[in-house]
Amino acid sequence: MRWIQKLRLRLRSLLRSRRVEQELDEELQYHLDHLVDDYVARGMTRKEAWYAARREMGAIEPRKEECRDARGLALVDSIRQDVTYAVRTLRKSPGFAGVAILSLALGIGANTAIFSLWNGLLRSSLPGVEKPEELVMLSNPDDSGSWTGNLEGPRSWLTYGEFEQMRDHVEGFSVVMASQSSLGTWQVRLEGSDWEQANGRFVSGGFFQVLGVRPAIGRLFTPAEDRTETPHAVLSHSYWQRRFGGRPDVLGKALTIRKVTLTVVGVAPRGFIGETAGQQPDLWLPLRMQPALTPGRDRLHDTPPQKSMWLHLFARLKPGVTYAQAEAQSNAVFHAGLESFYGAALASAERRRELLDQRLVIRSGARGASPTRSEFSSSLTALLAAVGVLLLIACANIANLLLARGAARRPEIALRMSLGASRGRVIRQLVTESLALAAMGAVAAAAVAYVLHPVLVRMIVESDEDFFMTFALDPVMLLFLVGTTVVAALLFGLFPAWQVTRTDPGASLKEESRGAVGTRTQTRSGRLLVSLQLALSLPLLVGAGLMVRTVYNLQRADVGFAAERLLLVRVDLREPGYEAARRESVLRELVAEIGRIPGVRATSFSQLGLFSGGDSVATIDVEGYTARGDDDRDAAFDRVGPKYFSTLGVAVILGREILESDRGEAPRVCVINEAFAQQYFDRRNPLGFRITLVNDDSRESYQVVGVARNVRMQGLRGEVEPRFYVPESELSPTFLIRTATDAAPLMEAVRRTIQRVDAALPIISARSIEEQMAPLTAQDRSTAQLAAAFGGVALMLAAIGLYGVLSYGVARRTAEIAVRIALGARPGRVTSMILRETTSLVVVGLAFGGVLAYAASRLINSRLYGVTPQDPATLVIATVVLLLVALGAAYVPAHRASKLDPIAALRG
Amino acid sequence: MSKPTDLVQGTLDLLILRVLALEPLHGWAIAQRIRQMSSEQLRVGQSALYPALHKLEQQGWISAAWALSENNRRAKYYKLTASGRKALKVETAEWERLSAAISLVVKPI
Repeated sequence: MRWIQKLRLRLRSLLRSRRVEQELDEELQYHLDHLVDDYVARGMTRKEAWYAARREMGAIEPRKEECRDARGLALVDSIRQDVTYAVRTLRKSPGFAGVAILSLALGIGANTAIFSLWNGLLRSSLPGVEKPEELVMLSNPDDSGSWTGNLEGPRSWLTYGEFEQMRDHVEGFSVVMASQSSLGTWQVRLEGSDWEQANGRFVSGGFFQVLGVRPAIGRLFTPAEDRTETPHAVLSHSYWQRRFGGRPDVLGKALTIRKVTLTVVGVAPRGFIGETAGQQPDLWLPLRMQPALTPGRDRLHDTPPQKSMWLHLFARLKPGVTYAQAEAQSNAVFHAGLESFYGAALASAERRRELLDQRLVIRSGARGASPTRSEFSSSLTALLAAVGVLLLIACANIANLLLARGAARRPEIALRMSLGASRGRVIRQLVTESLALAAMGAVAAAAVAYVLHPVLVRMIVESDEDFFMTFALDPVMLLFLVGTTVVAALLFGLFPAWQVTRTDPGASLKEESRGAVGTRTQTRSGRLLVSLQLALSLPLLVGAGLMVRTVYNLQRADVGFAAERLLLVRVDLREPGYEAARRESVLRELVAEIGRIPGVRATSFSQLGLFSGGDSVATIDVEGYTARGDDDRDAAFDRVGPKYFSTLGVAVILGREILESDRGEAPRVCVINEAFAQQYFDRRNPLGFRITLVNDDSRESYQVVGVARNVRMQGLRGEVEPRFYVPESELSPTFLIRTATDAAPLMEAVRRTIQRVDAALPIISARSIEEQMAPLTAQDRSTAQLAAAFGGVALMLAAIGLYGVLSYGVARRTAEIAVRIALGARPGRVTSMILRETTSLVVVGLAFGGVLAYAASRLINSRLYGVTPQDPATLVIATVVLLLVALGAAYVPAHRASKLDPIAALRG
Repeated sequence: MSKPTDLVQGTLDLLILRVLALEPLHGWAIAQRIRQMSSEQLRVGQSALYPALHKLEQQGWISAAWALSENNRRAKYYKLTASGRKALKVETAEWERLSAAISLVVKPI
């Protein structure tokens, strides 16, 4: 067993290194003593013999090194030695180490934090879910939830009926569950408290079973919940903690949604968020309760040919069943279901082909469904690129510091090399120092990332209140952290180490004695690095500038109405169970009562409200317009109350707006927006023409009585879509309340007024227009803030780098400058001489930076608004800022040079 | 004096193994023994000897133990292991083959 012997020896040398070292010394000493004895025996004096023996032995240290090498532990051993030495050296220069560690902590920390977001959104599995890699998904996670869905090709969402077929008839699945694709917001009343808002999601009875979770307390849903309507609710662990202080008596408590009282049966385990990454529901409700909880729309029963596609489907495969088998089985069941669903409608071959062109695709469900994934990944990728550049700049900075330090350490290094250390050995030592430095930076970086992460999450996802994500140093993150650290260390360590060890040790030692420090090549490398830093900083500054301008433009974007002093309050008139006629009168009463609140200027209402996320689209025929196909017949519309346009302050440029007299039995009229007029009426005067709403069984015509300016009510980007407005009282209207002064203080009065009209009227949401619109720009604002922060740090690092190189250059040339001054050069001339030399370096950096910025600008193109990626003004401003900072950083050493006392300098 | 580094690669290892085949010796004695056995032709300096010894030990061909030497001092004694004995045979055969081959080339002029 030779290897055991070898291992034993190796371990011994490793673990008992001091003992081994001693033995080596003793062995060589023994040899030396013998040699001396030998010479004495040949007639030399003891002293002569000793010298002769030493001469014959030659240098002992390299021999010892060779013995160590022979033991094959050179590497481990010398690494340990190097690390000890590195830590000692770094401790001796705390200033340098501090700056380097700080910039690394910022650089690596920012990278880690952004990467962890990216990782969480794009890669991470679902917390608390058992064996997520075995989950399969029949729905498509990359599309956000929709109620209508696509009836062609691969299905994104499924209907309740289809879920039942999959659950009951597909052999290959062991368990199947369905969940509501979008996370709902509910007004919830807990036993003994007020109405409050909570996130909830309808799920089938098998939901928890498929995901493989066990309750924290109580019980979770079971297949029994799929059979009958069971008024039960399961709470999330965080909601339980937040709202009930984690008390076990929550079980059996009553929870009211609309008119339905549900019983809390259990609490999900800690950390469990369900099937959709990045969303944290507060409660889960049985699918079968949907018709009772959202009255007016039964999504469990479809009437052909209408389908309500709104469910995610997850399943687990039986052992041995492949994706292909499961897919074939489920499609067979699926198509049989379609056949019986459409029935007679499939009679014609064409219709049949059209309707049956639907299929299911089985995908891995390991990462769950995540609507946030596609939304945020583009800006995250841009940010990841930005922090990557930031880290490069930090590396360049440290490399520069190391170069300067290397110059100062030249005598030490020269000494080591002349004592027999090979160049490779010295480079290894220097790189080890860099690695030690980077490792310390990485520890600090992990802390920075930990602190930065929640801030980033908040900044990035301000727009999505459902968003929930924790920072975890999982293996992927750890790998990223270690990888980044090592790459960074090699980036900033290798080049200076190579540079510093390049010269002949003899020359270097002599040079030292003349009092000059460093060489021209070193200065040149330093200047090159500074140019690189400047070049890298420019794209970051330009990016930040473009984002700041984007936010500025977005916040001043013309939405078509005055986006201030406006309240949006949505109530649900279905709730109190009014008869249709009573609903009408309550609505009038509400408008009148709200209008009477002091400070309220005008009140109207609409079905969609503003920027609510919802939209209505109808199939229409426009009088005198020939549609170019089915797509051309679809137009967006809204149902609005009287004086909608004057309340919002939207100019009606032709005709009149919708008035009180247009309601009820009056002739049907509508108002169109400019985009609508342009698309459907071209240059005709639209007034008097009819727009017909086409339903399957009815047609309703509306006469155009007015053309209003375009109003943005969906998003701030893109074109305003053609839209028409029809008068109608609504089931859940959003009141638009225009106030004389700041709107927010009036919210309470509006709430009280509504409750006075009917205390049972649920207020679904109440916001000022500013609150409503803030999420539209939230992501852009946070991206701009981050980009500006990164730009600032880059600028700072570049300034430090430039300052360092110039100071060093001036220090090196002290004698030369002193001679110039002694020969009569004026201070101003010396200053300008140094600044002139700086200019070339700055200009080269900025030129390259400009090219980089131009190339990189495409990265953020999709996020820009009202500014082109190559915007000259931004480029010029960023360049000027960089130039000014560079000159500022250069001025200090230049000024210092001009103040040099030649006598002191030359004597010293 | 012929420097061991001038020797064909591995020759020093062979010499050490050969010397140790007779009895365990410490470093100095190994060098002396090689000198004697080669009729003062080969002198092994410590610069090559000790790294070679450490390497052979690491290879498992020789093992080391501390013992009292002839002059009553602690010295590190090396001795051949079983695998070292095997290696010696192989190396000797190899050496003979090699030296015979070299002689064939060098001898006739």
